[in-house]
Amino acid sequence: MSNPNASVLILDDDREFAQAAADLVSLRGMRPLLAHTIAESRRIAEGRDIDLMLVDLSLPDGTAFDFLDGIDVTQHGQIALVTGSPSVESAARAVAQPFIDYLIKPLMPQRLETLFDRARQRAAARFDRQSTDCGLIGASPEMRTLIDAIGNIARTDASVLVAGESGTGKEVVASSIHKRSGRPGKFVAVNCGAIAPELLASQLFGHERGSFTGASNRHIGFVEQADKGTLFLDEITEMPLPLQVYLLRVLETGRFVRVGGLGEIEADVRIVAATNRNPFAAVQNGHLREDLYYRLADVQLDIPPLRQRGKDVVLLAEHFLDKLNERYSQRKRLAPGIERLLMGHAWPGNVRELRSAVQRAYLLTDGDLIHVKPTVVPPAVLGETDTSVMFSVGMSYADIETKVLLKTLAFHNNDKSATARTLGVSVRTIHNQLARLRDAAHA
Amino acid sequence: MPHMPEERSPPADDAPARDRQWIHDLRNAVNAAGLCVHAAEQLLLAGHTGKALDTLEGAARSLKRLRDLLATPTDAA
Repeated sequence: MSNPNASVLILDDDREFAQAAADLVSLRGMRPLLAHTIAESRRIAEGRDIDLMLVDLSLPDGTAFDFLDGIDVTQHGQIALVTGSPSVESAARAVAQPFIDYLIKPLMPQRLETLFDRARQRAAARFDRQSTDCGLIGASPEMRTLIDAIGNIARTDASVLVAGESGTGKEVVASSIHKRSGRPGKFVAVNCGAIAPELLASQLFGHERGSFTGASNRHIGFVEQADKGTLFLDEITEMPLPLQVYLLRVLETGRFVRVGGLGEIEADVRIVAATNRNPFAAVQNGHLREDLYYRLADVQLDIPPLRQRGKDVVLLAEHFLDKLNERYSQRKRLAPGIERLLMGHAWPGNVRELRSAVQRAYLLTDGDLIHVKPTVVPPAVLGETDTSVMFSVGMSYADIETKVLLKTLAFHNNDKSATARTLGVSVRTIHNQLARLRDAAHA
Repeated sequence: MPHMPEERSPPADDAPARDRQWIHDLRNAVNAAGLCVHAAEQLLLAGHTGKALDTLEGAARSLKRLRDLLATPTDAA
């Protein structure tokens, strides 16, 4: 069985052997990681959990023992030493190290394949722990915390508010909560911002025939469709405030009335809501009712942006690549060294942007090596939200001060006293700075 | 890129070390040729003809390394 999450590092300066071993690893549905020097392999191993390492004893920039000194062996799976110069000394030294095997070239292919099978078994167990079978991929501490939290709350009735930037995977989180909840009903996803406000009530709660012009049939709303299941309300802050009042009542009583209907209907619905705004700021700005916030956020889960997830970006890129390989029956892989580029980009569009970049590179590449090129976005836009600003090298203190001032003013709806309090300056300072800006604009 | 056994060759006046290096290179070349052929066979069985041909080129390069080694025998040969 294929397990693209299993990885095998082949560290050998004999390129023919290394490539042939990599082919065998690929054929067994695992990911080969090729390195010909210790320096290369350390870069590859950093932050990864590698299921098997085949390490040549003698390398251009040191020995297998030097390689071991530079990595955290507890983070990885098994390590096998391979050598074309067997000796009592190296064998004795290997026994004292965490090597599981001391293989003398020429190798029997069957011996290698036994090691590969063990690696795949280890990966299967590891992947169960990492993804918890809920579609979330990530090994960073932030994602581990999130996945653990999902495991803890999934089987409760608690409402959940998921907060995270656009493209971080809020619906995936909601869906995984449902999958692990054991609730027998459906998972119904609704984007509150994608439905015209005047239609949202009838879409959510349903309507009776003839209840308004165009209502030619009875409509079963999303809440009813999600009975005994989970209703995911994305972009909850886009829901009109009067409807938020009604939603709160439904959450409190478990009862609602279809538009144009008379009788109350009961529905056992677990609500997971999401927003890409800061929930507290949304409450302060009047986009989210405070009482509804507290009712929705029995538990609040914050999904970290991709730029804060370290090597998860590489894991995700490999995951998307595996999916594409499966779909197109290819065996393309990330070009060596691409990890640094992936981790250096800010990914303002988060996982969604990464998936597009991988797919674009995949489709436009003829060879086996994929060079993912992130879309270049002007620095001013990167990572900015209603409550955050981003600075880049080259900006002056004056520019930074202006950006913070204007963003804080906007946050407080142009209330200069509140802005002054937030910034820790006097109201006079705010007025003076605004006057300077006006003068500069007219100069 | 072909393997270059002479990259880490011992000094010319150190015969035992040169012999050890020769054996080491011999083991490497046999190992690479054998595994390339095995991998090519597996690739063909899986229907990856193009990739199998690439791997067979690797086997051919490894055999060339063997020929070169045998053309420069040492006391160990």
